[in-house]
Amino acid sequence: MRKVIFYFIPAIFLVSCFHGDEVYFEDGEILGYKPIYATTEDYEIIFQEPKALKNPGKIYYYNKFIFINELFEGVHLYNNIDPENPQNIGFIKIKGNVDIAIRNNVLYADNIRDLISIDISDPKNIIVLDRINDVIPSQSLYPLEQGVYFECPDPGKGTIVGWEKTVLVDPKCQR
Amino acid sequence: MKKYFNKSLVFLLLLIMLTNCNSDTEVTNIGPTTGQGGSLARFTIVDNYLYVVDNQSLKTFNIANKNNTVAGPVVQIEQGIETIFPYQNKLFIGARNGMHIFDISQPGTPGKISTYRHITSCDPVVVNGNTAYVTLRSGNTCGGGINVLDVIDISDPGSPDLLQSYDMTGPYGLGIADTLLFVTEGALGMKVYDASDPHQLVTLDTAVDVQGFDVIAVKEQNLIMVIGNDGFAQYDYSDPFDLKLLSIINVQN
Repeated sequence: MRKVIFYFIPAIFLVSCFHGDEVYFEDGEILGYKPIYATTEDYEIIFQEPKALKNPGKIYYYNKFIFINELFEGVHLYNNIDPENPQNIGFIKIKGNVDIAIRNNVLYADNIRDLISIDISDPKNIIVLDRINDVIPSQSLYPLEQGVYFECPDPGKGTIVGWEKTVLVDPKCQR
Repeated sequence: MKKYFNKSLVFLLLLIMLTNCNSDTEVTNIGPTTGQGGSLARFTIVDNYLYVVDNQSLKTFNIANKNNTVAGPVVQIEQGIETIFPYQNKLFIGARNGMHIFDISQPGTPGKISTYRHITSCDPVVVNGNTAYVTLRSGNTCGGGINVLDVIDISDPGSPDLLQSYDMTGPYGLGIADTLLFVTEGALGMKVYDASDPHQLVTLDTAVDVQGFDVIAVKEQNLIMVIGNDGFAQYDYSDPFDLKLLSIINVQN
């Protein structure tokens, strides 16, 4: 018990320290960011019609097929049997996706904070085989930009998948 | 004669069985085996295991059963882990403060062998034979202030040794095909080096069709794939002094 108090007292001092250094918050309407929370739709893995590349991420090569990540949206799939003329086959929508790896026709991907496996034997009829929840760390804990106000995240509302610029009223968080 | 006939029959039956096996696996449009990622990858598969690096740890998943991915051990490394590159029975992990080498000769249970320390920066790594190539790039999210390519002797993986450091402008991802080294430098394009002598890399060609940030070299096809902010390009590197542009997929805004 004595030990607990021994640690507890300095802890109180520490906390008061932080309060003393508290940053100044403006009141009223201020431009900032509000979190976008994951919806059930964001966990749906769907094969879609071919799309144009917009914000490309990493690439992956598998059996003459090229996978190009569209940052946080999914992967473009190209048939590359003829490298002079790669054919855009379609798009696998995987929200929050950055990385993939493929073995024996199973594609492993990050879907927000989950690790999913997808059977791509027939790319147009993909099947989600498995999902492990919350093993990938969140990439969107805070807005990317620094020196900005933001609406404090509410863990009760789920996982944050992005940030939206908006007018905030009396924001209580900044970085 | 009868004996011979019997043998032939057995052989024929076996052959039919084998053929059946093959046709079973050929139902698929995309064939079996493991794919290939770029140097910036955070996911990699070796045998029955998927290895994933996050900011501070190396996670292992057993994927032997495709319907049931099993989370295995998590190895804490340090803050600032960025990339993972498999080579033979080792994993090379690029971090802001160095390169970590892990042994995976016991699949699924990575054991740390050593750490090669360098100045804080972004640093993907690729490996060929006894040599590791690491690019260090400075920048807002990378920290540090140098842009170099380090060539490291890993013949003793327990004690990686810097062979030579080359000044760069702003190197991102890199790829290796035997003695050919490909390094992307964003708007400056992709450089092709003859890396047969680690102490004297020679620039052979530069391709500037896309502002590359990562590459994949496909040795069997003499093919180099480059992804950039503005598009995806493929080259035939049969003549490394003069890369032949095969195709470009442009980004559309």
